[in-house]
Amino acid sequence: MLELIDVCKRFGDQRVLQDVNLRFDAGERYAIMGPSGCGKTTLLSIAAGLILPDQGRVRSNRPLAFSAVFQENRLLEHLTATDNVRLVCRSQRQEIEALLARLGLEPDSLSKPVRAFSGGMKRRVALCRALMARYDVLLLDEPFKGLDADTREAVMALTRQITEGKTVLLVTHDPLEAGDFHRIWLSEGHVKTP
Amino acid sequence: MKPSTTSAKPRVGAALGAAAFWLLVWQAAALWLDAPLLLVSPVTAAGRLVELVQEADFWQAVLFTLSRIWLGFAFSLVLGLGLGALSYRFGWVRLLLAPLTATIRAVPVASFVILALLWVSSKNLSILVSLLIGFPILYANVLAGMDSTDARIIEMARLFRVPLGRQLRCIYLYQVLPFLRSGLVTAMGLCWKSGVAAEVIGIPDGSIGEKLYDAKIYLQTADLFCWTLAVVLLSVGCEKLLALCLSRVGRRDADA
Repeated sequence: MLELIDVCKRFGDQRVLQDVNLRFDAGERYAIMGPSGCGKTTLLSIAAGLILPDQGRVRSNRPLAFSAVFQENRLLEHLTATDNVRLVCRSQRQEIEALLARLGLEPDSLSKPVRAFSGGMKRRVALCRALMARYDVLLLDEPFKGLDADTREAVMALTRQITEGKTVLLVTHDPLEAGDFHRIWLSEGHVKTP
Repeated sequence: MKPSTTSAKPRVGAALGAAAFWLLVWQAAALWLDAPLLLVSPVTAAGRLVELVQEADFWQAVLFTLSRIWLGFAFSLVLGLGLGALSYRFGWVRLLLAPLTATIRAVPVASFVILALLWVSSKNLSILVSLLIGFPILYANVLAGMDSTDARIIEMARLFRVPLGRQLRCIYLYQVLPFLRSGLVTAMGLCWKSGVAAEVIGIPDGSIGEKLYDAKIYLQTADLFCWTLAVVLLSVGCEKLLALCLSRVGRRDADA
């Protein structure tokens, strides 16, 4: 269980989150939705402890391990796709390569550094890294951004299948991506009740 | 950006041409002055070098100085890497080392040598001086490289709990290498300059510095030029060897 209690956050004069109270239960998947700049990414960063709230607190019943697809890919451009994933987990090379293949990456591309990859390929490597890492809570910040329609659908289905029964916080604009996840609406830093 | 169309051959040719020009100037000046005690010709210096390389004493002196300068350089690299990493991690280490590195940079080599002679034997003087001269350069380069690491990548590593060893190898080393590459070559050149200068002051037995000192005392100008030439060749050779090794590391990294 992960809980945000009375969380407020400002960046300079801009109020990003205001009195946010949210509870994320273990094993449940949540889609955090809302217009651009409404504080979705900040909310994920605070939940993961990457930034501290100005007021309020984050509570969990035990120390939690996080995994994430960030808004940017944050890959090591000089490493191969497999080595980028191996950086964060102890999984066998074959296991990683199998998931990369399921995400639609050609075996030939796996020996190249990711700097040679297209934006969509990099996004899938970042997703593979997040899915392979050991975690209690998975944070996905627009993970399907930059994928073409067919790939996006396949990757979305695979992600849903793999994250079944896990705690997931997905940031998205797209109701289709949100699927059957519990939906949380953010607007101007406030949680909106639908 | 347009790729460079300058091939390696014309560049080597131009460099050799420039070197030949200055050798001619040197030869003309020696002929014009006609005072071998003040200025020997490049032909005389090269002839003396050919004589000297056939003597075991020459190679012993080269080995003596070469080994000590490399040792001092290696220590400065270890210290630069270690303290650079610590300074990056702990602000107070950076603060503590700032006046020290600034002082080491500013203090003349001669002062170091005279002070160091009170503490270490003249035999190991060039190790200490090379270390002191190389360290601030390598430390600054390591720190600059680490400081340039993308904060978002560091945040990623923190979130995924990437072990420190893996972070150092995969994130920081890659970031530091380009900075280190130029720093290492510069430091190597300065280690030679200062190491030999220290030997000339400390006069350890069997060193290149001692040979230079003797050449000056006994007015053996040809020997003086010849040993200087040997130091230049050794220094440039070490720099080139280092640059070659580093370019291989870079290439292996790019292929990875």
